[in-house]
This record gives sequence, structure tokens and C-alpha cells, in this order.
Amino acid sequence: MSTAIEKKGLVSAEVIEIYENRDLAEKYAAMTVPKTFIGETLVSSGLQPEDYFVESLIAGEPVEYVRPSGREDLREYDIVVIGAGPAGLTAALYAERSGLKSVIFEKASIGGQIAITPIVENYPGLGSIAGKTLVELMANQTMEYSSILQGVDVSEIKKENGGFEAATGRGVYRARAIIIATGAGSKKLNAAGEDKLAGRGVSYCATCDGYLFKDGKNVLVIGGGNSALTDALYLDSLGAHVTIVHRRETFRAEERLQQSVFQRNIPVMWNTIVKEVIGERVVEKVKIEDVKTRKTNIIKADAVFIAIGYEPNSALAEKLGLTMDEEGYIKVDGRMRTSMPLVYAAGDITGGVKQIVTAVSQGAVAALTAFEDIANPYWKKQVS
Amino acid sequence: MEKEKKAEFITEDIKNALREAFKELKDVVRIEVYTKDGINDTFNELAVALTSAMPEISDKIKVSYHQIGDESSRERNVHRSPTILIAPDKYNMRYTGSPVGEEGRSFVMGIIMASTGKTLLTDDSRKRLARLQDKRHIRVFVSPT
Repeated sequence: MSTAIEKKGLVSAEVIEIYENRDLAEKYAAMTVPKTFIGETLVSSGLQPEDYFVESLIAGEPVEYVRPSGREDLREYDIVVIGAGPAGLTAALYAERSGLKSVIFEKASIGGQIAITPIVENYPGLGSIAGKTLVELMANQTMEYSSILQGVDVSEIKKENGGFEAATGRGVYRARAIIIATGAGSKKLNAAGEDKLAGRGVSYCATCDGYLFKDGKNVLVIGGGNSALTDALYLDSLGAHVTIVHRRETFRAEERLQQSVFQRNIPVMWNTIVKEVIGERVVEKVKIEDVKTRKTNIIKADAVFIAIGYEPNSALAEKLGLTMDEEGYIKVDGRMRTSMPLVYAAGDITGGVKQIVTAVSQGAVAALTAFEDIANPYWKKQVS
Repeated sequence: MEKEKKAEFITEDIKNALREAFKELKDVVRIEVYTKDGINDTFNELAVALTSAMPEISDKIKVSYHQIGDESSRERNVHRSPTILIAPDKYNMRYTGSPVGEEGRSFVMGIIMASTGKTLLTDDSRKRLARLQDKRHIRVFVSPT
């Protein structure tokens, strides 16, 4: 809207509600929102920093990288933060306020998991707030101090010359310390058709995408843990026809959720896995298999909500040789130090309860510990 | 229909929030609402209820109602019900659908920006935007949650 006012005559802006315009949502594969198009070209899924949006608008296509104003070509920082979720945003904020020059690399969307959380009701002091609003508030505050380079992937971190070198698609950046806040992503089923129909009825976020299927649409929820049952109950309360598909013969979700599912008579297909998600443009059918009899069956479905847990985005940490736990999360101490001096981790990548409030806390601790360690290297004292 | 629906959808809390927000209005903003019976009726009613409450709150908002298919809808190239245009004589901004839930906030912000001419862009973005020379159509797909 702002750009349509600043550049009236050149820019037209249209906000499209997907539930009321389902045909358009299907045409543009915009069943997962928000999605922004310039003309017919998708430029962003999820939130985008303003400078990236403006550059995309000028280019008429997505832009990978926007030079931050004021720090053009700066290649040496005190701290490189990887990941612009709540942990990374807070880490950079605290780093800068401690006098450390920082930069954040984010290969996908700013905000991480909060950006796809419709309503956050457990962030102290804010009551009830939309996830994307909370992300905007956090990102704007951080950007007053630091820079976020969105769309730039850090492929490798190496120890070099007493510091670190982060290899990115935009060249090498040097830093004295590294904070890894790469988060965790939803686990995929790895079923045929899953990737093709992602955003076209295959979803990893019921609360984000469920609204489109509220009026008696047939939806499958895959999984048997707390997330799956919570999603099933949410979709059922919207008015969707929900069936839970679970590969075992019992749920592992907490008892209270199980009782709610049974009380509402939500059907469950036990001992069943999804082999294929089928559809031309959107999800139409799902091929399932009984794991005991190996019999397959094709059932009609308008959407498939996958809730089979999270997996850490740990590729970078593994390459660096950090110590991980058995589930692949980075091991940290109470000060967010990893097994390597001057490398810290914060947020969902450290496992644990995976809450926004703990992520921001860990981001702050990581930055303050880095500040302390850069001034007083604890590992050198131990050696001497 | 309008009066009954208003009572149903637009609570006193919403009116108070709008009253506060519209203190900033400067120039008159014209809003055009387009609907067609039988298509998204619930959302047509929401669009009418929301917009018809606005002129009661601020005399700087003028709303007119149109049917899809009438002359005005053809002139404005409106085909979907409901559609809301903000200041269509001056700017090209539209809601295809009813701005409910979280989108209500950005709709109100759109009205305020159209009235004041002041936007939320940073100076840096404004400088970048000065380079734009070609026409662009932005589509943002949203949902109420």
C-alpha cells in the first residue's frame, strides 16, 4: 500500500483474501500465506524486509541480496549471526548494544517459526499478538542496530587466522565469533507428490493454512504426537472433516489431547502411512498403506497436514564439527557456548522447549557471553 | 440490511479503536464497496458493516456502495465480490475480499495513508523506490488468521 501511494500512477496494490477467492489462491498456488507477487511473479513467501520488497518491486522479480545502506562492502564483523528468527534477531541486538559489530544472514524468511504462527499468546507483556506482527516488531528493532542479509546462505564456516570465515553466496565474511541460530524445521514425510503439492494443499502448519478448508473439506492430519492431535482438534473445530493418519497403533500425545480427539469422534487410521499425495494443481487424493497388511488404498482429500515433528537445521554445525546431541541438536552450556570456543548457539537449534521466549533469552545470553569471551578468552586461561 | 449487520459485527471496542486511529485523517478519503448477492454473502455483509460504520466515526470518510456489473464496476475493472477500493480517484489500492481479522489493521492503515499521503516507508526505501520507472501490480495473498 505504501508503494502505491509513493508511486501513484505506477504502482497498483491488491490484497486478496484467499478464502473468498479460492480460485485465485489455487491459480497462484497461494494456499499458504502470505505470498507476494509482482505481476505474475512470486517474489516472497512470508515476510520480507522492506528494502528487499522495494528492490523486488523495481526488478519485477525476487532479489537475492540487497546491499545494506551504510555498511556497503563491509566484510569484517565482530559477530556473524546465522538465522533471523527470534534468537538470531535478539543476539544481534544485544551484540550491537554491547559495542560489537554484527551481521545476520538469513537464507529464507525473517522470523523463522514465529512468522508462520498465527497468534502468539504466551509472550509476556504482549497478551495476544499475531506472529507476523511480533516478527515485524523484533526485526525493526534489530535493524535499528544491525543488518539482515536475507536470501544469503552461509555454506561453511572455517576457523582462520584466530577468527572465523563464513563462506556465503556473496563472498567471504570474517568474524571474531559466530552465533548459530538456524532453528528447526518441520519434518517431511518424504512421500511422493509431497514437494510438488506443498502450498497446494500439503501443509506443515494447520493454524496457518487450515482456514481454507474449514467448510467440510476432507483433510488428513499425519502424525500421533501433541502437534498432530492439536492440529486435528483445531481443524475439527473449524468445521473440516478431519481424519488422523498414524503409523502406529497408539498415540504418543499426552492423554488429555487423546481424550479430546476420541470425544469428538475424529476418525483415526491406525498403522497407516502415506505413500503418495496425488493431484494435478492441488491435493485431490492420497495413497495410503496399511503397514501390517501392506494393502494400499486411495482416499479423497483436499489437504494433508503433516505434523510428525521437527528436525534441527544442523548442516552448518555438523560441518564445523560441533558436538551435537543424539537428536542432532547443538550441545550448549548454560552460557550458550558450544564445544568450540567463540561459537555459540541459540534458539530451536539447541533443542529443548522451543519457545519464543527461550529463544530470545538464549540469543541475549549468547551475545553477552560472546562479548565477555572476546574480551577475556576463558579457554586460554584454562590452558595457562 | 446495513444497520442490522453493523450492530452485529462492529462492536463498541472496534468503533473506539477506529475513532482513535482516524484522528490522524487529513484529506477526505472515498471508499467504494462492490458486492454481488449470492457470492461470498457473509463477507459482503462484513465489508458493508465495516465500511458503513466508518463515516459515522469520521466525516473525512465517504463510502459508496455498488453492484458488480454496474457501470462503476466496469469503469473500475471490479469483478469479484466483495471488493473495496481505497481512494480510487487518486490511488490504485484494492481489497479483493473483506479485510477481516489481522487484515483489518492494514486496511485502516491504508485509509490513513491515503488521507495523509504519508506512508510507512523508511527514507532508505523511498530513495530506492525513486528508481522505479515501470508500471507494477502487487498482489498479496492473505487470510484472516
